[in-house]
Amino acid sequence: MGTFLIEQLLNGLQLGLMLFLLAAGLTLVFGIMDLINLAHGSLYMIGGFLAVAAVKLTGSFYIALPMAIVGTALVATLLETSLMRRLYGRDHLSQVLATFGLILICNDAVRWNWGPNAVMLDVPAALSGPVALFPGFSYSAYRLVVIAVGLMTAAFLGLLIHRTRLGMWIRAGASDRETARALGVNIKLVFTGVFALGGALCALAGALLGPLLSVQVGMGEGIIILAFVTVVIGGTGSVKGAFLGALAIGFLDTLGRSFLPLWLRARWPEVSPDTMAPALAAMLTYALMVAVLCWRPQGLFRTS
Amino acid sequence: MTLKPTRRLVNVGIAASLLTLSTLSAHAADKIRIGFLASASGGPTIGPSKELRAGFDLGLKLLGGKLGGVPVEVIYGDDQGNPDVGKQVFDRMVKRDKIDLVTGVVASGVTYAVAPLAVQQQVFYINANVGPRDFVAEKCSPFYFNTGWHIESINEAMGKFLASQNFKKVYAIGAGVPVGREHIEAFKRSYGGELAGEAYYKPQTLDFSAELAQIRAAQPDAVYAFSFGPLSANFTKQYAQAGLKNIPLFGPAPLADEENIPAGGEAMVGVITGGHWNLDLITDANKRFVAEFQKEYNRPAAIAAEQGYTTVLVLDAAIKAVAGKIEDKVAFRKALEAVSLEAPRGPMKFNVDHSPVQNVYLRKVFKTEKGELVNRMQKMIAANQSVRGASSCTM
Repeated sequence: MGTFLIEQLLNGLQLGLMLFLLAAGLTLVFGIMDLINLAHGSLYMIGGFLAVAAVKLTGSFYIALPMAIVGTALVATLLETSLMRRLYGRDHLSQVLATFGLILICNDAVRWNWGPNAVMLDVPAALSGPVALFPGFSYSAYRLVVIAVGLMTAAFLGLLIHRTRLGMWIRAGASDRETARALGVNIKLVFTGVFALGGALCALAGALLGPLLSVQVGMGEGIIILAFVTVVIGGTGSVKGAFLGALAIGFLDTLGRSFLPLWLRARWPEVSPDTMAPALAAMLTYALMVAVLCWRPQGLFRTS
Repeated sequence: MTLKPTRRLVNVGIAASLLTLSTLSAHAADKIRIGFLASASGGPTIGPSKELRAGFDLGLKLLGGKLGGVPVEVIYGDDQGNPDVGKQVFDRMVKRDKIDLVTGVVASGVTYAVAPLAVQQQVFYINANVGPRDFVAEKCSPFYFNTGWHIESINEAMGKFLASQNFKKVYAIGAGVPVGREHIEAFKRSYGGELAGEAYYKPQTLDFSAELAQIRAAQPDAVYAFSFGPLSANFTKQYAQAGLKNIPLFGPAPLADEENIPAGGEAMVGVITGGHWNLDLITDANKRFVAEFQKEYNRPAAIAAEQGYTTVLVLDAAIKAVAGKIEDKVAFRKALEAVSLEAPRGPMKFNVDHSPVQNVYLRKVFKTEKGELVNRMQKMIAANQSVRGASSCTM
């Protein structure tokens, strides 16, 4: 039972960190530009597919990863300057409509180029096996790397937001856009930069998760809902909130899925919990969101 | 029952017009309209749908676009793997395109939505993919035929096989789709032994870490998994990464099929599945099918492609038997029931409940010297397998 718990905690940490990569971009875009970007998941998908293409080209996952990140950041920059910029002033409904359309376009573009089947992104050979953490417990080496990269990215983002001038602009933009503009912050540039940063984080998540999950059309839609829940819990515009929210959801989802069936089976052996447990576990994250909204409707760390 | 004279007159009028209509259409059709419903743009069944259509189109092409000598028009519909969309598209096919029969349909959820509608409207429903229990045996229908495979036959054969291999503590895990439980139940019934555990996961699951940790904790001597499409690739990949490769992994065919093996990669090697067909099956029909498929699409055929292809063979034989008069529904039904042919999968015919009677083979994924991943046939594990209680069908 001890190792089972440790394994599940690691799994929860990994899921939480990957969610954070998606939610960080989402919350900044939402908090600073006041833009609901449903197509954030498409950037995640594009990151995954660019990583596949780059691996095919270079043969190395380690070279492909930065290529995918840069490529997706470029796509995001292009999107921001051509389309998103026109949506900032619009109401949320128009934004939802436009970015939903963007999802359909991205999905079809990817399907046209790579086909409807899931494509393979292999784990680098050195990381493909399990690694013994201590006697009697081994864990997927690749997942450990994903956790490490996730933690490092979180630390990097924390430094960027709280210790640099760019971070100051971002924070200023998130708490009061108009005043920041009046004080001479080049908001236009910040917007583009933030959107590109969000795209880069998406690509990092897409490329890292590619070998674990399938790289396929529509892969962003499932996970982006969880990312939105994270943003709502953490408070829009707050990277710290996104971090804590993502970890909370990661742990809750993983532990719920693994311990709820055991607990239900022990509690009510006569009721078959096999299909009930996953459904209940799926509800947990939303229950958390409802609880947070009741307690702090603005989210845990809303900046303005 | 007595009717008012005017009312009676109206009824007579309707009857007369119906008669004229039916005499008009009793001539052999100049064109047969087939509705081909499958997922082209969404859902986890998009891969198998694509394969099914590829096989279907190939079969039709080899017959010169004709079935039983009659030209065919195929109306393709996209159900998006969604039951509601499937119903709408089917409705349009019946009302606007006036289809004679409907086939395709890969997602079981869509089967559950569309098959009862079709049967009710007396439109032949030729299920080319997996057949659930709800349409066969005592629940059979004159208008429902299954040319693909039946859930029970494959899983029961696998259950028997695992029991014969002295596996004592199998962990069973299935996708939580409408037919997920049916797959696992059929396996359990013939396996008979103790289960180390049983679990179902949401079909949207991407990360199986929680499920895999439970499998590890249960310490089974084998794992039996039902999944399909990209779910299979995800599951087997993560299974290998979690270091569970030393526990043999079994399942029905869609767990490791030519359609999803490339996405699963190396992790698929060693996975053993039961299916009604395999790429290297030695039958004359299969040699031709595999070669033609490779030539047409430049990739190996998958199991769903064989199902699409065999559906064409079945329809061709039945339409030939009624000389193209597909409107005579009783005759066409009898002709379908009488079909018995050598398909790529081997001998195939329908049981009294219109479920397929066919062999079940054991397949295992190998890596060739060239580095390609292929399913190789191990042996036949059940001959002429039929559905439990098929004879309880009364039509």
